[in-house]
Amino acid sequence: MESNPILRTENLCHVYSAGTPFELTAVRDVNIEVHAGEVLAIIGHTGSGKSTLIQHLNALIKPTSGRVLYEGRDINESKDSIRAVRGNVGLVFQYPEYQLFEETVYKDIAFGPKNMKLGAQEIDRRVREAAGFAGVPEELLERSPFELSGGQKRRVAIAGVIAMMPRVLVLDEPMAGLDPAGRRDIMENIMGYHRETGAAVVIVTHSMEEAARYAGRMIVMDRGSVAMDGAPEEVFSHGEELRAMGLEIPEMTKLQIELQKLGIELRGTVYTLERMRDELLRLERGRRRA
Amino acid sequence: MSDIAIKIDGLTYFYPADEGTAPVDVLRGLTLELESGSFTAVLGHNGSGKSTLARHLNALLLPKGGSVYVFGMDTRMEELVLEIRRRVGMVFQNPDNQIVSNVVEEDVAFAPENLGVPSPEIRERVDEALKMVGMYEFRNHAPHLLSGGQRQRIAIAGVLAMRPKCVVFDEPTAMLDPRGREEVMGIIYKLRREYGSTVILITHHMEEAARADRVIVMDSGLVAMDGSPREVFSNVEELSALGLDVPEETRLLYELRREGLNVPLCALDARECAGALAKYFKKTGDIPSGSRTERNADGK
Repeated sequence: MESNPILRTENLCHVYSAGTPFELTAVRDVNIEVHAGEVLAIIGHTGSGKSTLIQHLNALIKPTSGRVLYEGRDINESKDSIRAVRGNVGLVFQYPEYQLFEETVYKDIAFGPKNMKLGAQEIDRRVREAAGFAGVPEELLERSPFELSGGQKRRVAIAGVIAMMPRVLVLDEPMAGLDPAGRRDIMENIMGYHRETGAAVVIVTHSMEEAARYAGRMIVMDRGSVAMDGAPEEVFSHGEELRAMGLEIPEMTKLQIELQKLGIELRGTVYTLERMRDELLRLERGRRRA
Repeated sequence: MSDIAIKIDGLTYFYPADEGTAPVDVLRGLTLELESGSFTAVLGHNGSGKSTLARHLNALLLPKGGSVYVFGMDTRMEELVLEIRRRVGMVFQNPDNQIVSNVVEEDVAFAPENLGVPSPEIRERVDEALKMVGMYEFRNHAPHLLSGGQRQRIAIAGVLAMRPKCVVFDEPTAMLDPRGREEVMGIIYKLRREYGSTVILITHHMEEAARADRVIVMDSGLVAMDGSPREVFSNVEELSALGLDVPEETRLLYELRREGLNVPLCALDARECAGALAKYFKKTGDIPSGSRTERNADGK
């Protein structure tokens, strides 16, 4: 790749319960790169190793072998490097709302910046800014997080990570369990943070549609290894292989395959509704002209 | 006339208020009948009252106003509650909140044991339920070492071991990956085919709702739409206004119609949609060169 990656893994391996009968190699020899300012989706079915992989990205767990490099430096090198990466790579877990614990929403969002030993004024600025990015209304800040709805709690948890102003924001299934409108809103908020700060976003998801809609690049994990790495168009052109890995292909790609069976050929690999509509309208224009 | 499994009349429910605030109305006079053996999907954005409705179907919640009859039994009658819970099983979103034992088969036996079913029959029911969900070979495993989809199947087996006539699934696939979702949908089909069970599926996944006989859309504690998946999904604008999606194929057709193409209102899956589009482009003929093969030339 032309630009230097901000974050990359080098022959990363992770083995759980090594030396016991339950030994499990969750991540095997993984080399991935995250480039500054990109949106990367990591896809894979349950047990493919994607959650284990991303927990390495801010030194939450240590590799069994291999390295994780932030701006070329091994993040597990020293206590300082670990502290530094925690500020630069923000990790939002699955169902992060279960981790809220402070008395007020404000305090919960302020927890990260406080740990970074920032001044009171800077903390206040960051809490308000992060709340704005995550779509947490000002009037909720003094409420107890436990009074909020599930969707609001999730936003508070995301705001807590954004408050550290990470240059790489990593989210594990940020939309799980939300209704369609809630999923869209949360993604739009995350994309807003990406656009306004230029931060890279790494998003783990089961949803091919969502990966296709937001990501510029996709990494597909299968049994602990990287099976595919490329633009969505490229990845979705391997429909059969994706299905063999237990993954769905986007509805619009399915439709393209069905259309092809009926003799209607479209250009390239179609994976979004907008693209499908435009391709069909192109056919329609041709038809009307004829 | 077929039998009525569930009859709800003017159901109201509110959650008690905090001091100084008004109670929150969740259900506001909802009326609904569900036929025995039917498969109904319930849609609605978060807060529309779906889960509150579900919890009335086996007397986990009791009406504040109106009534709920389950197989003819009034859920307000305390002495009928056990019988009602025997008939109506509930499966929730998170399997981990439903699994109580460290061994799969013990977990599945938990509910029938509580119902006082004699031991030999418990054995029989547990085996049958585990086979039904395709988890029999895992009967001696520890649930926490299984995948999310497998754990959800164990939780479902625990419900089936009560031999309910009706099963309410409250977002059973929300925490599962595509493979896990398909496994759960497979069980729903099997339940209907082999036991003729009445199934109520609360979901956010439009593709799942598209597979039901009937779709009910809830909004602000009332039924906003009610019909076959095709009838309901044809109302793209109305659904969007309620914060809901339609299957992507239906949205595509909607957008093409707005551009003046005379295509159908609704398609529930890729194959149906492709058929409709092929018919449109074929019937009107003159597909531009490069986009037609011999296979569709026969229609002209």
